[in-house]
Amino acid sequence: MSAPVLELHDVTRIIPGPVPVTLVKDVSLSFRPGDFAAITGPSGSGKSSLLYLLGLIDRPTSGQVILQGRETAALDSDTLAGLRLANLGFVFQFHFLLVEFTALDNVLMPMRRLAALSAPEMRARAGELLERLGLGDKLNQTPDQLSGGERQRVAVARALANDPDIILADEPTGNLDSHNARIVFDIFADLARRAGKTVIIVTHEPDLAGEADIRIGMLDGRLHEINGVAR
Amino acid sequence: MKPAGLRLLWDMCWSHLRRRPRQTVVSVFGVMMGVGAYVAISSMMLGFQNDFIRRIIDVSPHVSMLDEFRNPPPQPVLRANPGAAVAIAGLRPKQELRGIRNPGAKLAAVQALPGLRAAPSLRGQAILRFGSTDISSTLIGIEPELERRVSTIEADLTAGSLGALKTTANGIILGVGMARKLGIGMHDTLSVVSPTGAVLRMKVAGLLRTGITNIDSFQAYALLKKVQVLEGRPNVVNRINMRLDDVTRAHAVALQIERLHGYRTESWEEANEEVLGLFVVQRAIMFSVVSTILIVAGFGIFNIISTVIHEKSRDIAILKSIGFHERDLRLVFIFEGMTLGAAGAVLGWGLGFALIEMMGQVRFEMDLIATIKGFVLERWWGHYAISGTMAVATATLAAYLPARHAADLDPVVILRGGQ
Repeated sequence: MSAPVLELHDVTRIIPGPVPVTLVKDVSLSFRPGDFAAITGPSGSGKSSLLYLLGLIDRPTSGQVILQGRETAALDSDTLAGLRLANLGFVFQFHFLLVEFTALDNVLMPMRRLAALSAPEMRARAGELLERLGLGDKLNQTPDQLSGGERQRVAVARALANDPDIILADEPTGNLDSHNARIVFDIFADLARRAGKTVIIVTHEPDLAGEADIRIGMLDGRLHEINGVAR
Repeated sequence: MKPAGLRLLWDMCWSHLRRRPRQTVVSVFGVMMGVGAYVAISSMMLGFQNDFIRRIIDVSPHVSMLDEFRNPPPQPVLRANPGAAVAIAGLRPKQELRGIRNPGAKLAAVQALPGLRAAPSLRGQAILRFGSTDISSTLIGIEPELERRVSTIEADLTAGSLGALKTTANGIILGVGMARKLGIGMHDTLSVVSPTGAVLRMKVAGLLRTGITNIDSFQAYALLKKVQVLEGRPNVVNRINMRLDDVTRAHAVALQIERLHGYRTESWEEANEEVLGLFVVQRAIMFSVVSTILIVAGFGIFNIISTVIHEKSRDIAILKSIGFHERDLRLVFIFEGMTLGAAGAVLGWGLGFALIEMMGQVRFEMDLIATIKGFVLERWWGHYAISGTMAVATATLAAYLPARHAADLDPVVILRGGQ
């Protein structure tokens, strides 16, 4: 069995204040390459907060987040940004594309920041990604010229731009009709099963969640059940 | 990780500015006004100042030896006890005849310095009386042959000549301002009354117009001998005026002569200290006015960058979460400020240049401390450099303040708020 790419050890996240709010409490999880996981739970159960912690966007109050064997608590924010850029891909509920830029330029954005490829290589790769997601004829359209499903697919292409090992998605199908939701969901399933990526999705659509290999149920910031087995 | 490419940051910066064309234009306009005003006004001011200084250098002596001392002579008791604490009360200084002692020798001595010409003169007070008008004036006794070597008053005569002082019995040259006040013209005769009470009838042998009001309205020239007699100070000279081939040496030459001969010796800078000091104040005032315009423009830039950051806080959160550094985002917004500042500076240069050329066309006449005909404009590249630097610096600072805020935005807070 391969080594875990992303692990949480007793992670707790509390927002300090006069009345401290506990978002995530004592969560331990471990993901391996090719894992396709879905996090479910009612609103306010800490699904998204857990995803931000997994994605190194937020820092835990206590506990450890280990990315590819590397403990991240002591890293400064620039180093974390570098890890996110190269190793993690994000898709959000809203497409969150930059509206001033074309689909192609949006996908190029993380590549240009990483600057690991030459400009023609980047263009070729971005074009290929969009092509694969069925947007080959929309490269030069801006987000407001695209439909909701198309925008979300551009966002997926952007998440894949730097070929990360881990894809994190926060309700990626939440704003799509069932047809488009299906398309986007299948892309994620494909990434895990064929490309061997680790894909973690937050969703509250039970039938989609049911197709995931690992189903994680959250309740009140705690792990409630995994694959139907209560914790 | 490598720093972000400038091209990438610039693309993001430009996308923001292009989104709000009207605000962008207005902020650029603000900077343009500041820079244009600076370039135009400073060209006008420097032009006027330089023109005035040129006239002073032309008309007045470069260096003057006066019949006074910078410090009172030390008392013998002080000289006998150097370093001792001495208090003297009820001092009665020795009465001495005012004037430069042994002027002939002094004149010969300074004449011997290279690149220097000198002329003696006696300055005294006199009342000029013509009909029922009395005017108090400075009456200056000169020797025409020597005087024409140290000043340009001969060239500034609108009527008559310096030589006419010799050929006319009791000739006098008046400034045009004074002649107008007296209502007197060429060849008319007026009474000159000295402080000692002596009266001399003198005939106008020339009219002088230097363009400097202080001279044209208050000075009169006559032969040295006549003035000495009139003032009751035979053979006395109280000023030796000098002209140098190289004006810039005036201060050094003045110091050298003063050290040698003891008499207070002034360069033209020292003699016109008040006016030159006024120029410094004038420049300071202009600088603060223009800085104010630029600061106001800076507020405009602060405003647009703050608005963009507020509007784009979601984009900022996304960019941070996909791996952009805080510094990248700070730079994007600082670039925006610099772009607005630089665009305003370039347009402002154009505006300033156009204003200068327009002012160059205007003709008018005005008696200030000097008579001017239209704006005297000094075209100097430094004004463009200073205003451009100030504009870009102000704009960058105005952008830096909100940009810091953008870098500090916590993406989690924004992502959470968006759902």
